[in-house]
Amino acid sequence: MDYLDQLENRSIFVIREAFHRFKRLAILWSIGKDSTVLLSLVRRAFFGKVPIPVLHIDTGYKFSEIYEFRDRIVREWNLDLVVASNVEARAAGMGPKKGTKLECCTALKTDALKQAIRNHGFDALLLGIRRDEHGIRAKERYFSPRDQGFRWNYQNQPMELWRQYKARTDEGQHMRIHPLLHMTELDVWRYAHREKLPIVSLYFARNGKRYRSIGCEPCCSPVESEAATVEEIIEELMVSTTSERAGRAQDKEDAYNMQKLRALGYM
Amino acid sequence: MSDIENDGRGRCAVAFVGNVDHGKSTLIGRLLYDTGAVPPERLEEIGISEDGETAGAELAHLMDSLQEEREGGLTIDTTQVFFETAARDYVFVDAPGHREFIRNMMTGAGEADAAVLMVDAAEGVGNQTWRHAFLLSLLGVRNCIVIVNKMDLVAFEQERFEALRESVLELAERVDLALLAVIPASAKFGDNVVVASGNMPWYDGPLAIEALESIPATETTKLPMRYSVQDAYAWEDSPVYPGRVESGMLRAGEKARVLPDGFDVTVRAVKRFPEDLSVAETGACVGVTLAETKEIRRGQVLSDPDDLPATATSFNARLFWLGERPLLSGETFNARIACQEGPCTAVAIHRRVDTATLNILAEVADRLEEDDVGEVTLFAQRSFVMEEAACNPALGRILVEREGEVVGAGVITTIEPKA
Repeated sequence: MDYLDQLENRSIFVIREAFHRFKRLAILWSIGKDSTVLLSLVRRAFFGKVPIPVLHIDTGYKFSEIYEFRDRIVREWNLDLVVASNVEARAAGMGPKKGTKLECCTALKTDALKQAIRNHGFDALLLGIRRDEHGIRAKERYFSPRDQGFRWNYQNQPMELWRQYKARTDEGQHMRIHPLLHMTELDVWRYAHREKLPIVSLYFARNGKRYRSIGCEPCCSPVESEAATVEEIIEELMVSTTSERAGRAQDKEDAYNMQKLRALGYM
Repeated sequence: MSDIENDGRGRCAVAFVGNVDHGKSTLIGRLLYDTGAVPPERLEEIGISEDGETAGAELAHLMDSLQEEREGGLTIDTTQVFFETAARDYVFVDAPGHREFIRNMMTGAGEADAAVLMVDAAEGVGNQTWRHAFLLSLLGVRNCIVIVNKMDLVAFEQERFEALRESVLELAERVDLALLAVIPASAKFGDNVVVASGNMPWYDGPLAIEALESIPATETTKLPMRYSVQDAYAWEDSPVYPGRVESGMLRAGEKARVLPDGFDVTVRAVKRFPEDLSVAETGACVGVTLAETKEIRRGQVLSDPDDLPATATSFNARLFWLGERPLLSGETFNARIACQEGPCTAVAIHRRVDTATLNILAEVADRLEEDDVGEVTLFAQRSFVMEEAACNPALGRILVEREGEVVGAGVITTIEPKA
């Protein structure tokens, strides 16, 4: 079995365990490359079907390309799309200019996610985070419980051994499940290349710039790049020395911002 | 293009284990730093200037990202970092050395192909050194490199190193680890990590980085077919049974015995989206459809009918106890073996051992305390499909839970034939 097959199979096992263990499972789809790869793995795990709702947290500040890509894939892959927004915070004008990054991400992403979980009764979520993205995400488990207040008890995480994962949550808790944890940025691109997956155009260079990590438009900076195809991105990453999230403003406000965001329930 | 596809390049997972404060995170940091693998902005984040001299202590912050870890100077949870050399790709798994975080150590080390065991040259072999060495063996991680670290604290003395080398060899023999190298080093100052040390001219063995490159590729052994049924999906005309090939090869058209029930089926198709396979290898998560109208369910195991695993209710396991409350003889808990689970009772406990010293506490015991290991005789209320871990680890590893929390982990050593 080749290397990408090994990664894929590990992910599929985790996805199927999640589906078996939880009654109301959903997948969080940011439309970025990772969660799109995750969505394709869900299709493979369930033999072409996506049997769970696909949740998109819409902050209202996303790139227009994201919405176009989302709607196309929803049609092509026959997805049960659920769009969630923190309507109150958006009406009150919350945005990257109004609050700190910590406040804005918490209101428009974490709180919107909280509302969606409550409204839809989800007890578990699949998320496309990876260990190599950030030192804090490197500490994550495949099955990672969140308490009622969405807090992540990173000081006391469940043991994971021999593909046995924590199978249940207490009342009010939900489980975050991370099937791509063992993949690197390069693995994701190699997998997307091998599987010829559709990827939103923002990742590909136009006029000497491309996005390496995408979120909300005001808080993402493109990197200098001539890579206009998946092959060229792979070649670029093989020699790159900057980190993937170098263009993400939320990481920069404070050295421990990611830890704080995630402890509060951020993805 | 091989670079695009990454053909043939596996990723070797190496766990860094050993006593707290013996320098695991610092060694990983040193390996990354001296090979130029750290992006400039990461160096800036941990306070090392790009062209400046490095003092060494901050190198651990490359692994320890939690505020509590950096301020407290110790690793709390396991973390992983990706690393590559010209020869191959690695995942370095940093495991915490503190006794309190043994679950995190096992979570990290359980995924490893090989280990680096750290020993502090000044402190010598500590309690967690013994415990971690024992746990590596229990987890099936046999290949091990020992780094005798902090040689700077013992004036780079050869005698001190040779004495420690002797105790390490004894330890490896006791727990059955294969030592690839024993290396005197200083992670803080970089001696014998990536660059040969000028302070230890008496040492002519491999550097840490060379020893890593010498880790042999994991051998795939020829084992009989075992397919764990994970679920049943009924959204097509004929149900598909997703599962994992735990060992051997699963082939379309072949007969298989469904255990523990004991009836035979024919695998009609090996399902994978978008195209079916004729054969699925060990580790493949595929699906099967059956030629017969029989139904199967999660927890059943499809097996090669000519070479069957055991189906048993009574067996012995070498069990490492993680529960705060001790295991008392007679307790019933939930046991998990691959996709099977069900209630099991500990009917007898033998050979209770303190893993900090590997001393036998009692040949016949009524309990296992936290961090003890013992030979536990288990009785399952319903039959499990299993094998001795030494023959086929996939069906030979057992986790034990109380109220959904893992309290024990072990390997099946002997199985009583079903009467």
